[in-house]
Amino acid sequence: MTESKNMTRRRLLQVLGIGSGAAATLTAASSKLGNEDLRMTMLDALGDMFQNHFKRMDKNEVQETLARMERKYAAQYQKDIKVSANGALPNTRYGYALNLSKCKGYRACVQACVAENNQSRDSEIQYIRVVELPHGTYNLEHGNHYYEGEVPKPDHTYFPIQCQQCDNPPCVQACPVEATWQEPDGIVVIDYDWCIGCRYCQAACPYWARKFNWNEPQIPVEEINPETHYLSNRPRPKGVMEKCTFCLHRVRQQRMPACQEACPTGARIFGNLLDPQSEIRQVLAHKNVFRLKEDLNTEPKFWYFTD
Amino acid sequence: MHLFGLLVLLACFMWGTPPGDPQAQEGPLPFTVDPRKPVLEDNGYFPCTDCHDNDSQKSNPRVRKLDDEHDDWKLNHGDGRFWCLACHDSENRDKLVNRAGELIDFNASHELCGDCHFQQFRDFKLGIHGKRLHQYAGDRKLTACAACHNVHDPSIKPKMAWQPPKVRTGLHMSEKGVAHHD
Repeated sequence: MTESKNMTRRRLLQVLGIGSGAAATLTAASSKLGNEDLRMTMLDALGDMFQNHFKRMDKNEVQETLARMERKYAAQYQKDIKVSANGALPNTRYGYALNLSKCKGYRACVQACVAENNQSRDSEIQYIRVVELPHGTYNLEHGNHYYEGEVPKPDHTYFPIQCQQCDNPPCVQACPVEATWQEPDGIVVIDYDWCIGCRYCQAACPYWARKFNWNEPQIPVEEINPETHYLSNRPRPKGVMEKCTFCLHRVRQQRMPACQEACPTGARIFGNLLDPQSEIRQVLAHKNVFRLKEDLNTEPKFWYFTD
Repeated sequence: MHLFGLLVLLACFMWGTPPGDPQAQEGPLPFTVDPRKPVLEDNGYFPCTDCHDNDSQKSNPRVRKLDDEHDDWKLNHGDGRFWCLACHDSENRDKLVNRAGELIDFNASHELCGDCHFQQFRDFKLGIHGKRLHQYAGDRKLTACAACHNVHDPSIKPKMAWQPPKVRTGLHMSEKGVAHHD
């Protein structure tokens, strides 16, 4: 046991030694060549390789990482893309309510979400799924995810489902590398660079909220939203999970999530659960609300109600 | 024993304390409504007295088919039970009028709607019906009722849904439009 541990340690030291040696040689060589760009690219590649878990980075590391990402995206998309890492607002716990009487199934929320969150257009990863249900049932087994044409159809209701930002998130418990966690404002986030793409979280989530990037995400350059956040809508690599973050990059600036802003019927209500004057608190105080699959003890922060 | 009782009592009180800022008030924030007049002005409808000056254009309370002006408007409000002057004042044409005869400014048209649609108005004031503008916290600005509802034909009409997601690999679409396993 001790020997194998020592062996692993020795092996690690060797790899690190080779890595830093190579780094030194490369940087020396490139600076001799006088090509500053090449040197930066090589340093960035090494920086990417040794990038730490987001929660373990100190302030300087975060700033360096953000700057490195911005350089990478600028080279990839030929466009200035800002990456921020704003922390949670103090005394904040986000909640969402959705009025099922008002949802008419237009999918305006889905459209806005795709644009806002830089989702891959090709693989059609979508954080919101609107399910069409026959009147008189909320049995999701009978739902149609692929309805088309003019809505609302007679005798049908529409049931949008997205990440419920659980207080007891099964996805977080399932992750073997702690690449996903709950932020202090209640939003469950993913460090896309720490995710190993095992998809355990996808299997653990009872709300179909987590999506996997099977392909390199394809986003038309002119449609990229350049205001991004490390933990939400920055362009993702292939082979990692992603999910709704209640538009973390927007809501931490007190802006509404894109889906709420886009909803033409006002069915969506977002707010701070700790603020007694917030609209979400009025919904909880005055309406009969329910949560999806509440019996699973996931403690969702997403309530449904009817007029 | 007494100390234990006291502790239990204290715990009960603490249990009842709501989370968050104890100084914050309960109930919804006061709000302002996005003014309607600029929108109507842009559309060329306001001020109404530009045409309805009660001099050359006298108000005509008779229910009739409009075929000179406003002929493209459907008056389906209340399934056609109302005439213009149910909501528009016959004397001061730049104002609305409620059932009690009080004049209401076009920028406060939600007050007039709330006269009959009191349930929706209660929810509107709470922030449950209608739409807030710009941000979820702080300065609370709401859209006017008329921003979403055509006041002359208020029910929301069906429209095209945005494109459906791709059918997942391994599923196929049935004739009914429902995805099934092979």
